[in-house]
Amino acid sequence: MYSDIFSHLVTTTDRTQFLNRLAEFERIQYQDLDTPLEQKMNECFGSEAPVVALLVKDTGEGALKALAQAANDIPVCTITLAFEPTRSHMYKLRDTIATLAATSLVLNVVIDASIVGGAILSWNGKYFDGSVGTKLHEYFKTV
Amino acid sequence: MNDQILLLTAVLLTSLMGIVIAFIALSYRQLVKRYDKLRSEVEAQKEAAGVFAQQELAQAHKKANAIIAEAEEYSAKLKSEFSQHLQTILSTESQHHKSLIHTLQEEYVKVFQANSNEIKKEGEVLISKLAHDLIAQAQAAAATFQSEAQAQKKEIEKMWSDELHKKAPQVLEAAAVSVMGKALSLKEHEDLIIQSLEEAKRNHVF
Repeated sequence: MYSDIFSHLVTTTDRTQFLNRLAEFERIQYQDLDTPLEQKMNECFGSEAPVVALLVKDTGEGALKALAQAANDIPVCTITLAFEPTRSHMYKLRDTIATLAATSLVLNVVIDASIVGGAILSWNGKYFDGSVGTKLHEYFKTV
Repeated sequence: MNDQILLLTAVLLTSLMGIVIAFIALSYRQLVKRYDKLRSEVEAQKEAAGVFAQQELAQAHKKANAIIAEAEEYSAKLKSEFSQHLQTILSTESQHHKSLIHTLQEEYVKVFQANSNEIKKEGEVLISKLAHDLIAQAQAAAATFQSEAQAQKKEIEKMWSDELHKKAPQVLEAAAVSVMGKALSLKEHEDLIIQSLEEAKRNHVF
């Protein structure tokens, strides 16, 4: 239902910022009634057209809470990387993992240079270490 | 009146004084005479005593000279006798000592020569045995030391070898991690992440 709205929420940080904006809109929508509601929406969600489009239809308290609840319910996949990924790489990663998991999700990205390369995943109660550091360690343990 | 009495009294007193002075002068003269007499007597007695003393002294001197002469004569005699006795005794003792020393020397030389030969032989045997024992002990100690040293060397070599085998993978791993961490490009990182994700899928993480 909210897939278009949540498509730009790549990381847990994005989600937190979105929830903060939503709370801000909820706070200001009944203040300064001379200011049009669309202007207030644009001030809070200017770059997020799907959100604005949704709120135009319904700005009631129930709709906002449902949206916030849906955002909070997005599953989180924690991924440990050896480097700081670019924004576009994070989109790519999120989409790849979402495809593999067959669900929408947000990433909790942890940076740890000691893993050398690859990734460590923690998803839905499961843990997988596909890092180069661990592979090297296992390899040299058998030598 | 009074003046006449006084004059008469003065004349009387002066006369009396003259009488007294005359008496004193006479007494003094007599006294001097007696003193001279006594003095001449004393001188005579002193002279007589001196003569007597001279006579007595001369006699004593004579006696003393006689005694001294006798004593000297006796002393010389005694001295010569004592000297003769002493010389006799000394010569006798000297002879006796000389013969005793000679005997002792001869005995000592005999005993010493006999003992010396025996001691020399025993010493040579002892030294030879001691040297032999020492060489044997030294050889045994050297052999023990050599074997211990070899055992220690082997132990150390094994310890180092074990340590090397234990540390080598760690060192290689650290080197590999360091080299790979620096050598991977962004594209290679992305490929490795995709590989990890696919692997996770194969392991049913998703």
